[in-house]
Amino acid sequence: MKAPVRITPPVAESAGPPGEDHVLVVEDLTVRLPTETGLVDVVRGLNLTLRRGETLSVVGESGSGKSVTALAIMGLLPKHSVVTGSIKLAGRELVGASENALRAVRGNNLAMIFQDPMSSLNPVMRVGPQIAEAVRAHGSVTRAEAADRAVELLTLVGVPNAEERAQDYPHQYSGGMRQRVVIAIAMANRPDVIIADEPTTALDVTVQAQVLESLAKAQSESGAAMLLITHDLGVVASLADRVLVMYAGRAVELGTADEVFYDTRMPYTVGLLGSVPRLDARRGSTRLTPIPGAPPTVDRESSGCSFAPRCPMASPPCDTRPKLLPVGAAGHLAACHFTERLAGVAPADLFGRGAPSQRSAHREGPGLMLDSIQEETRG
Amino acid sequence: MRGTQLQRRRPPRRLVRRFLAHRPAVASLVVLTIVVVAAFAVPLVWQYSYADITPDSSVPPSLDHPFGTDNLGHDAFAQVLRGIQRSLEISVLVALVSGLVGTVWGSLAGYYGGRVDSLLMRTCDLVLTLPLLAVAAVLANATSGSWWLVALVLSALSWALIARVVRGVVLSVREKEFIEAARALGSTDLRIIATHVVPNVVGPVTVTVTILLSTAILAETALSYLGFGVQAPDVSLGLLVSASSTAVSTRPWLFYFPGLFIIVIALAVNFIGDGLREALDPKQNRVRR
Amino acid sequence: MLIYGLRRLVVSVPIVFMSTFLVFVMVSLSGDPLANLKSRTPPVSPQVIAVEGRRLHLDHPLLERYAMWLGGIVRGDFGPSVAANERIGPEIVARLGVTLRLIAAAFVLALLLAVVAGVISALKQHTWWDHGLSFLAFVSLAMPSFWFAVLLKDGGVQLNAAFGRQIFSTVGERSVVAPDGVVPRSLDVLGHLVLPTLALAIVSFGAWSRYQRASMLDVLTSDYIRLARAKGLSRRRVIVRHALRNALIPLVTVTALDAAALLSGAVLVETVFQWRGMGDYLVVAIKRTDVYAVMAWLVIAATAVVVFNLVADLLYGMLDPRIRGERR
Repeated sequence: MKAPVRITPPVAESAGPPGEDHVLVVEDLTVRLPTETGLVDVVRGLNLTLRRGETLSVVGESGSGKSVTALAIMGLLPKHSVVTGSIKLAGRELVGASENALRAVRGNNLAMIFQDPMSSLNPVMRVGPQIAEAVRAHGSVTRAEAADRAVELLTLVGVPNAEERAQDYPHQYSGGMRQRVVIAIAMANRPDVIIADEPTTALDVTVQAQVLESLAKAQSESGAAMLLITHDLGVVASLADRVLVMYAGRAVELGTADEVFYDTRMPYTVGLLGSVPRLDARRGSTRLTPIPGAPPTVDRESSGCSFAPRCPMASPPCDTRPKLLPVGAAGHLAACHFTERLAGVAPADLFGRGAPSQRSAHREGPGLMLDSIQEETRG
Repeated sequence: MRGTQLQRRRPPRRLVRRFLAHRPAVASLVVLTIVVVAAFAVPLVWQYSYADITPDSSVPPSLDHPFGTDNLGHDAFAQVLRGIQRSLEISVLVALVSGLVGTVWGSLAGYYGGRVDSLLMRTCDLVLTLPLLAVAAVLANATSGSWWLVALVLSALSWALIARVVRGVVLSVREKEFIEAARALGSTDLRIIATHVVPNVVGPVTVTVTILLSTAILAETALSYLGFGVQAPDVSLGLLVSASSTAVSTRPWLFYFPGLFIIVIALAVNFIGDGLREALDPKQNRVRR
Repeated sequence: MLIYGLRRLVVSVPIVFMSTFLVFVMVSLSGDPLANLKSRTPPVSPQVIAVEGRRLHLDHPLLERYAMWLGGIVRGDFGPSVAANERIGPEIVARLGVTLRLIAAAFVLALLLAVVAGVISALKQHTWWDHGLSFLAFVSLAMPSFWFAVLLKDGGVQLNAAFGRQIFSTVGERSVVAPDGVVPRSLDVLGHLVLPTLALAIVSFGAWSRYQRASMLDVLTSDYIRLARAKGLSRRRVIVRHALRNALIPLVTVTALDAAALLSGAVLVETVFQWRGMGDYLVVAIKRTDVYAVMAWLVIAATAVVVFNLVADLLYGMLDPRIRGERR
């Protein structure tokens, strides 16, 4: 793998000064990925900090750059990707670091859980050794000790008969059990940071809760901070301390889970919350309010707010891109020119019938959707 | 919805663009075109015919005889051109016959399924168990050694390959929603085959037939070398190599030129097949450069 | 797993059965085994021809001949050869040994080269390494194997002439007068093996290295390789223990299935190097319409296909625990 090129020096825009308890600091991160038509911007100047032991949840639609951010932090992007900015893990710069330096960090200080447990494990290797080799990669441990540790870890994440099951192959495990194995691998060396990329998305709803429980246990056991990437707001509500909302490769809102959920200051976040069914809602009282249109394609970029084409509040100021600025309580940031007007706005007010401005929704919203479908059909 | 749409109508323009991005394939297409045109056009103006016996015997390549001559005084250049013609005719005939038979056979098996399918496919299995070279040699030995009989023998042993590919594609297409939709709308079998099945089969068949082209050239040369292929006084590339293989040290030019043309043609055809496959199946090379 | 393999074996029996019948008919109709005898000058007496015809079962109808042949095969009798003083069974067994030596050596060489080339190509995808090795593979696929064999043979001859002594043996599977002693005799056989092995291996190398490259590329983009890298394992361990181990599974299966095809390749290589193996036997048999000798070759080839299919199944089961699991 070619070392990512570092071009711009890190600029702290709004993340605040990195303190002692900031275990992961990402500053002005941009990622460009190679495609058939050339490099494409996927992450555009992202800042985030992770405090020791906390859980920061990154939410957004698919294509918003969440997973690419995770892979950039791990240094696992495809060849010829271009990463600029700064990623500091416990003060150590990872952007531009050698493959050897990255290898020493991966699985040791920094671990990752991937989305699909069905394909994450090596099908021809027994489960125990797959955990043990993670242990042995970062410390002088004998084979037997590593095997014992593997069984211990399996027990910890809730695999019954761990001693026996360590001798099984992945195909003998269910999806939920496999994801526990991946969690066990992640916590094997008590990392500072665990990145979990949609850890429950591929699982049955019935086992999601159990796996989340294992995940929470793994985190408290190892004392790791967690970057939890998901689009499942239920998962966010149950695990996250703080929430970062991403749209088109940028952070658009950041705050504690309560702030983002109950004092939303960015129209996209409002829409995101409005498009999720809530079990606690009384029947008939709340309608689901979808966001019209589709996220912008990654290769086209305007100089204005990237959400403007889908935003019911879009107006002339939106032709310049809003900065991520503090709103309300300390630490709550949002990127919108109308954060003040958004205080106390409900999704249905904004996106439902009788929303304040239907101008752009009419022009670009449903119309856009229709166009793109016709485009496909015409092919 | 999206997947089926994309699969049903692949824009040919994009296909051409993808193919053109495959540089070895494009270069091969150019080379092959030159070789084919030369093989059929140059003999019309060349001073010697392949059958002419010139007074020069066993001379190395010169301006008069670019590829030299053999011990009887045949001009090797004229003979190689003639050999290319023959080898191309044989391989194209093999590709056409087995492509046609295989496509019809495989389509019937895949489309009708059930008993028809198992009967037709067991026949394919039977043909595919026959070792190509040995059985081709037996059959060719029984014939007079005319080039088209050699081609038919090779076709008889390779159509099953195409049939199997076609059946696979047809089976997978048959299960798609748009076929069900078409049937629900009252389309006839024939219409469904023409508008939905055929377009999907064209790609894989083209690729397999391309591979078959080069296999046929190599099989013809092998048969001719063993003495079961094209017979003298006719000329094919395999026959030329075979005739010269005992005198490599004394008249190397007779051995190298036909051999090189076999390699160039087979190589070009293989690269073109590769380019076609990548153009038709972009999944295999998502991230390039 | 073994049961699965055996079941497939049983299923393939009717096909093999049909295939022998088809070939028997084709070979029998392809010419007259007595043609040689009939065209001799001075003419052979009709009585002699009739006796010879009876010896070759030609007085029976075709179907009956097939039944007689099949009955013979079951008892281990391959039937009468056109050459009256030759017994097909012992002859072909001796030649099988010679050919198997060549095929085994070529198989191992081709497999090793293909794995190395395929892995390098995949790891260095789109570099000059990859382009160079891919081109080599394509050339080897486009090259008539006997042309390359003749080239090697000529190279060997010229090298021997240049050094004034026998460096490469270019004729036969061993010296006509074999040297005394086990070691010198083995060295003699090995010396004769070098060039033919290379010639035969090159064809399989092309296809297999392309296959290994594709399989390796496929594995390298898999999720479990990403997780292996996320563990911080050394590059070497990721490639060998995780990637190569998985990428070998399909290759091994394909090579086992292809191994039977080497028998056909051996026909050409043996002809070039004048080996007295199965290939030479087949060519001679076809030329003199020696029906039962051709059938013997085909039966052995068919057996080889079946055996190698079984081996492929067994290997697949050994290498892939998911298949092995079916037994439970």
